[in-house]
Amino acid sequence: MTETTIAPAQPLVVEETEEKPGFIGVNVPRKEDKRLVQGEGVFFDDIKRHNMGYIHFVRSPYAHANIVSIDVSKATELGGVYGTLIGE
Amino acid sequence: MQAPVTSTTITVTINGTTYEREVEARKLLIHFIRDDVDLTGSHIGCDTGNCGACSVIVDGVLVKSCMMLAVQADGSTIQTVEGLGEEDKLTRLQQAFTQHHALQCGYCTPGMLMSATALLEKNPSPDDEEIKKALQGNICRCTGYWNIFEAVKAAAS
Repeated sequence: MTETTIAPAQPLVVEETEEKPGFIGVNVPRKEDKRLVQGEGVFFDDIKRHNMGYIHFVRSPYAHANIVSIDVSKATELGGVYGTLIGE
Repeated sequence: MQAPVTSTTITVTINGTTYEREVEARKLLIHFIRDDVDLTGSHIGCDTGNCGACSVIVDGVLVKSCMMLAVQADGSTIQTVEGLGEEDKLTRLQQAFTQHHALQCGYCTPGMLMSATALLEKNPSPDDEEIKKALQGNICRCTGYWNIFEAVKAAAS
């Protein structure tokens, strides 16, 4: 087995200087702050895609009842409705 | 039977640009700003007037824009977070927010900035209690409120 030596990109021993290198003990400004304080942040609700659909929940008007049947025919007749989901 | 009128045309000036749009009478001002005018800087955190993420300044008055209908804003002048400062020139308040780590995820920040802007416009040198009172309508779920308070205090002259 031969011993291989790899020359480090930077010297392994750093001379101690008055000036501290790196990020320790220093306030580092966040790079995302500028856009966030300017209202330029993009959150999930800010994303719009072509032909993006929206979901709308139709809740039961009764606090305690059995679901006997759900009629979605009027919803699917409407223009622009991609589909309905009724848990079946 | 005549169909009821459900939409009307409104003219609103937002951040110096005048928009004339037909809106449904039931549309909230925040939805008009975000969906019709595409200024998505103002956020919706709750839709019920609790969180303050949608705060904007309407004719000089701080408003939670989910608590106002778009038609009520007809003829008004509105400032949103996008209207603060310029592209490469942040306001004192915006700079103070970054310097004091007054934001983490940034979702509540536009509302915080508008509440604080409204305060500082009325009262450039608020005391501690006045700052706290001005921010009490805004909810932050990341940083806590201390750094936000510190930022507003630093921006106050």
